[in-house]
Amino acid sequence: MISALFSHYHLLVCILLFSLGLCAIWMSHNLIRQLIGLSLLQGSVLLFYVSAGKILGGKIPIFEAIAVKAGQDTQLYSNPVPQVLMLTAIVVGVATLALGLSLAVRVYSAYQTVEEDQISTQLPQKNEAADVE
Amino acid sequence: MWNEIPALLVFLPLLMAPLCVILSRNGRFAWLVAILTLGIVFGLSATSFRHILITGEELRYHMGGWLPPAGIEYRVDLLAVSMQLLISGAALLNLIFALPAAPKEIGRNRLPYFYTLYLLMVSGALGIVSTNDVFNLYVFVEIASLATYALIAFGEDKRAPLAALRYLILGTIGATFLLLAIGIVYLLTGTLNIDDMAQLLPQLPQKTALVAAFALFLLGMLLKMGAFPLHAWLPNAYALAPSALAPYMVSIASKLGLYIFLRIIISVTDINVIHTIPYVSDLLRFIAIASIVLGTASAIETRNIRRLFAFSSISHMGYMLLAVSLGTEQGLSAALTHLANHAVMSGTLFLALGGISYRVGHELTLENLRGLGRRMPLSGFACVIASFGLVGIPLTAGFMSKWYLMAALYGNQHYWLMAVVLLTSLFALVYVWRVVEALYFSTSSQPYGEAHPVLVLTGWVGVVLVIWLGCSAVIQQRISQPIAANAYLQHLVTEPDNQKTEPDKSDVE
Repeated sequence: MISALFSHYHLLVCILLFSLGLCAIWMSHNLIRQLIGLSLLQGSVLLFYVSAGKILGGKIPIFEAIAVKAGQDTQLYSNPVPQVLMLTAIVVGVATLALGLSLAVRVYSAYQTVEEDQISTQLPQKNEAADVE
Repeated sequence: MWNEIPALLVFLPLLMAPLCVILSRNGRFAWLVAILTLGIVFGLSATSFRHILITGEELRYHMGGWLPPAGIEYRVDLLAVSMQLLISGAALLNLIFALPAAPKEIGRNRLPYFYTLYLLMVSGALGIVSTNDVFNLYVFVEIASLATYALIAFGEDKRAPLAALRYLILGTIGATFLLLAIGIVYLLTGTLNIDDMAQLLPQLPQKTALVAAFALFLLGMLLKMGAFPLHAWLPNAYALAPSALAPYMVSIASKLGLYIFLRIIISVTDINVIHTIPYVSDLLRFIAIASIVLGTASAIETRNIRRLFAFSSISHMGYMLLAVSLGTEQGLSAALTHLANHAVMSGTLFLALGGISYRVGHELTLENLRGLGRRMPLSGFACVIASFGLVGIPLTAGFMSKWYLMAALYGNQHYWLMAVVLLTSLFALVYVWRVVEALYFSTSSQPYGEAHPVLVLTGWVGVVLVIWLGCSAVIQQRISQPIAANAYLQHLVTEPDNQKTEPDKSDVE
């Protein structure tokens, strides 16, 4: 059990980052910090995919004829698909972060702050806006 | 020829979206591009709907000619094509509505961006329902969601960007859970294709990781649905979205979460996963009841009309989840019928409210609605019909779906759940009646006249649909029941030995 944990230490790192990201979103009342937490959350999933596709001692996945010419063992290669998938996920993450930050700028220009506590004091009807918290 | 339609439906709006920004200085041209695109999309989805309904075949399209396990496949069956029709219909109606409503609220120089994002959002939603590849599904979820976040921030209220940011954070957490679940299943099976996955999953030696993946997936989708403990984003997002977007959002946005959930449990895992994985059925039932009760209770104490009906849509998501949690054919078909009916009713309601907003301003409360029923007879009456539909008054669509929900509950001897549904419907009458009272039974000296004719027209198209769906059982008989029967039939054919996992009647209490 313990050895299984240590042999899959990359998963431990992913879980740690994932939880840190969730904690940052959950506990912080600063919108920018929440967005940082969100990036951390997405980053942990990127690591999860990419590390899972890697095989220790595996070669780069290229077409056999070229690989043989380069003197490589073609039997064992790392899985390229997760990396390709994560390329898309990185783009999605960047777009999300960009949109989130631009919304944060809009929030800042409306309230002069990105702290949720201070924003909620400025909201017009307290009871109606309670769910913003 | 038919097989190309799913790809066309997704890529036409995607390609036309930049055109709105590049070619147009003002909103009028962008609107023309958008209406042309969505008109074609609606026509195509209507013809492919008719085709699938008559022939019963599935449409499959292979991106770039690559065959399924390696390439991305689009697969459209009856469930998907019905959703396509619902999405494109709602999008088209809302776009017609936006012609007079959007310039007033959004400002002419920002209109091209509004329509661009609108097309992207529709493209993402159509992609979600068409694709047969789980990673592609994730990408489309993000396309649709990102466009929606940005569109909510167009709202004129000062709180709109904040609501959009809240939605962005929670929605992205949901999508990340989905991505993680996809990753786990990909590592287990080595495939992303839904059909391929469905074949490989039963052969797995041990399924612990699969349960973890299902839990992550369920959590992510409950966030997207806005079910009870995870609904924090929903009321503000629905209430503060520009009224030129709200009808589409209310009818489609949270339903997509439910659609993905149903698509995965029907096509990937077997449909009985609700019973085979412990506690899933109970958890869903608990969440459903909590959403129904708390949604209704919050709606009763809210004075802002849009927030009130946003809470009401949380409770209606609860009814759908309740029907799904039964895990029976009747339950599934009741959930699908209610999905379509609620989309029509809530969309109609927000079209009518948008018509009132056109004169009154975005913020609608019980106070400033006073006496408007007589000033704006058509919009007011559309509002009343749609909200009666939400209660489930006979001759409206809501009655039909609640009837089938009750029948499904009765068929499984869940008598106390029937009582919950009946009681909450009564309480729904309370909050709807307060709106009707404000509209018709109070005096006001407000000078407003009837809304713009286009707004009234779109609202009344919705009203006609609500009444028609209330008088004919066409959705239930021609669409929901065949889909549900097929979902359970597939399971019977592939794994006959799992039939012992019928709903356990003793776990009701």
